[in-house]
Amino acid sequence: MSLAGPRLDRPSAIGDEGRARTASLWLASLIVVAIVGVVGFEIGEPSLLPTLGPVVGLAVAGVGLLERDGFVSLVVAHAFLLTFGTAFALIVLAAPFVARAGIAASGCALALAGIGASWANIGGDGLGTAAAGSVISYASMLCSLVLMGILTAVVYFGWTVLTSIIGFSTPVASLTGFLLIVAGTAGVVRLSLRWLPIRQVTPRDRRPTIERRLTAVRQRLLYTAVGSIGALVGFGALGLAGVDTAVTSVPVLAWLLTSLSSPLVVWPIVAVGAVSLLAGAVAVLLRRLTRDDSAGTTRRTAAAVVGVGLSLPLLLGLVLIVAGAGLAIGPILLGLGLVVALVLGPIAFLIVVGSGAVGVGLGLLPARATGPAVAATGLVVAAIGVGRANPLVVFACIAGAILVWDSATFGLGLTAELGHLPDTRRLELFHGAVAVAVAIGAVVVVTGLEVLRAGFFAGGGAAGGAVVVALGALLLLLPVRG
Amino acid sequence: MIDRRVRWRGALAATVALTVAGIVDGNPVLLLGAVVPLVFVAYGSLSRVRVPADLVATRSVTPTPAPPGQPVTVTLEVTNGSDRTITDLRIADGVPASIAVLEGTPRAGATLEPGDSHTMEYVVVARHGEYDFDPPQCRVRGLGVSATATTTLPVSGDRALVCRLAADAPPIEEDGSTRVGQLTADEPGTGISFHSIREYHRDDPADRIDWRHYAKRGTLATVNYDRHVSATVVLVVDARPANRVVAGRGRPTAVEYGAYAATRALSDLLDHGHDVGIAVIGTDGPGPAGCRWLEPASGPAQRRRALEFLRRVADEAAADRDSSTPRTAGGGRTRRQVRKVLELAPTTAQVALFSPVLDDPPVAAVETWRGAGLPVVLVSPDIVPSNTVSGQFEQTRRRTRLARCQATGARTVDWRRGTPLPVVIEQAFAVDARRSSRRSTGGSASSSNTGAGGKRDSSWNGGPDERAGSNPAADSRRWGGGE
Repeated sequence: MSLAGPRLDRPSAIGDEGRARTASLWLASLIVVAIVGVVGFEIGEPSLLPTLGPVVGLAVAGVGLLERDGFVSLVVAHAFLLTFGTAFALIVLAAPFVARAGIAASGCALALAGIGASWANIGGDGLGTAAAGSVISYASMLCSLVLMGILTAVVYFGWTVLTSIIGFSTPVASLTGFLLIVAGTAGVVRLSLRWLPIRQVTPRDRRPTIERRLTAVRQRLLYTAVGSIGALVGFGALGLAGVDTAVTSVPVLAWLLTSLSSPLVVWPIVAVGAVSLLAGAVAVLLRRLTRDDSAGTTRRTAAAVVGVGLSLPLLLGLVLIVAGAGLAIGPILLGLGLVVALVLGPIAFLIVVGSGAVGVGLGLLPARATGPAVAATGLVVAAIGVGRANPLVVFACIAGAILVWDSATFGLGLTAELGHLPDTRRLELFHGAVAVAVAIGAVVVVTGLEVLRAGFFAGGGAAGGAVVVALGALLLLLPVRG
Repeated sequence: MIDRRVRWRGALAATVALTVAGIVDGNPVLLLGAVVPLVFVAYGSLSRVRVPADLVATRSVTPTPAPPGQPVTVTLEVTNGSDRTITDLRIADGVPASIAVLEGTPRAGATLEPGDSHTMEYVVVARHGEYDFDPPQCRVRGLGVSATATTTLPVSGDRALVCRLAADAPPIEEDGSTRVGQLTADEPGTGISFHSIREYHRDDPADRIDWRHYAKRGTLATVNYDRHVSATVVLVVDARPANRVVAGRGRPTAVEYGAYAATRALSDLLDHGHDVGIAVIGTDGPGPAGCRWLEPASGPAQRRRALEFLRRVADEAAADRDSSTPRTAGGGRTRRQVRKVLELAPTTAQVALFSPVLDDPPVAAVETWRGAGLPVVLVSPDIVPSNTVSGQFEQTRRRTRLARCQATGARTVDWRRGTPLPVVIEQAFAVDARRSSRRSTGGSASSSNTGAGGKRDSSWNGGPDERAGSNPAADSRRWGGGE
């Protein structure tokens, strides 16, 4: 059953339940924007609307783009989620703990996100997809950070070993270092030959020849590696026997052995090994990425790519913290900001979006009207946030929340019953005008009550007035509860 | 039926939340604010709605009857005859389930003041048969939107969409033509339209002398007119179950399109004085080899018989189009029926096959008939949608089959969607009529080229055989020459 109740006729190709009709959404959007602007002035942040608008808009765009199947769209979507989405989530979750005005800002962000989600037709499914994608991106970011750490350690260790070898001045040490480098390079090149798709990119008629050559090269590399290690062992045995002193006593031989660890010899060999290792790793990576081209793989790959990309600024933040320790506070603060935003932001986003998805799953939020419900909730939260400010603004926030819900769900009902084709603008505007009139009437009534309360109960203290109003409100519930 | 939906749960939740927040915060403003959602709840609860009694609906269906595949415009006008404004009216017309809406929407939402009308217009695709519209469903809401009243509207005007094969076929004249056939042959004779000019012979009638030529050159010349001949045409409808498929939901089947094209061709050919026979292959009929067969003949009686014949074919196809029964191939039966058509058709007849060519049997049929020397016209309604990869693949295969048919010497006409059928029929039979005249006159006609230059270039010194582009030998081979 649709949100608007049973359909008038059977479902057909004409009508499908989708986004609410435009006029209703425009009305709801105008209300939200106006209230957020007013709340911004009320809490002393006139730039609240222009600040929140782009952040929330791009976060919603990220969730909306997740519906697409293209790789680039998905990468952009996840990038938006892990940047603007995390910023939005941090505002929603962290701002209330900063100040009371933060509650209002949080509510305004929710309201803008809700109305944006209504335009983008984002429901519970979209929130679930966003939550799953952010988990993958976050895990990828952390994993790639760990991998980068390991890689950095390996590179650092290798660099230290190589510079030590280059620095050797004795013939024995030079020969030992040279043999180690040769054995390592031969092993690495042999491994990369296994990874590189040489046979696959060779024309079919030349494949047997290439395979023969590859076999021969692999054998020679194996012999080289084993021979180097054997020579190393043999030379060690000779050293234990004291023969090495006899060899190094010959000046020419000693010079030759010493020159084996010179940079002119070492670096070309290391470069061959490094390039082949890099090429092999790239080939393996590409093969894995292109092995399965299903929609799910594309989705996961896009999330992982964004996670890996964001691990770089996270690493930069860590480096800034480590490098700036004890030197300057600026880099440390910058580094801390990056680390906190990138480590805690996705968790906050996951909490916000996951709460929405769980709320839809539990039936607390309507699946088809998630956006309007979130927008109305946000305005109610904003009303609570500005509760101590001008009562008229509070009442306007609450009335706006109900108007947004009413207008948006009316538009959704129209879409569900009549589809997207009929022109229903007049109907929507009529309904909107009546609802706005009711809202204005309600605000006028409660403002009058507030004036009375402030007059009659001002001497009796706030508690007495509050109790009276609470009882009145609860009594009002009784006749209209059905 | 009056219904009331709970629409303000969110408002009640907001009231509770604001009350709790107000109490926790000790903030009476929030407590007062909790009254605002309650006002909306009260507004929704107190609003009432009545079933509209004076709503009047009028429907018009244009054109009706319509031939299969033709877009039909349906207009529904709803008038508020009461003295109250209907603030929220939603209407859905009762489009028959088998009919597809092509353009527009059968639904509308409006606010109607007393005396106001709202008109909605949409286009459906006609399918063979008669389809009754359901009464329009109408739902009215009160100001609070929560209360709804749903009812069906009494409707005046058209209540059904009627689709007939012969909907746009011109009626045949009862007394017939005074001439033997009205197809123009590509050879000179008596007639109406100009054919050529030749040298005057002594026994030529005076009314055929070209006096203008005489005034210009001083010599007598005689005008030749297009000669009218009669032909025998056998219309073969490929009604195999495999062809009872549609291009989209609510569209006519390929068999219905084929029967419609055959109906139109039948009317045109009979109207021009030709003998027309009908054969239906692919079904189990009472005729020889299970083939439904109507002997070639002319005149209004033959037209009635043939129309009834084709209507029955379309009825069967329409009845079967929504069934989920697997459609068997029946290749052996089709081959037998194709051979039987060859046996039954007069030797001077030409065959016009109406088939979507979705598989190979029609190609085999054309090859069989062409192999026996019969001129064949293949009119192929295109029902393959090309907006999908598989559809484009199937379209390519179909066009390949059409090309194979053309390679046998058959004249193939691809009836694309959107092309008016009269144009297709004219294209299919215009040339063949002339060619059939050669068959009836022993193949003495000179050329199959129907270009303006080829036909009208005859002059004093040029005989029929000297016309540009003529190739009698090749033509007679192609059309079973020697007859």
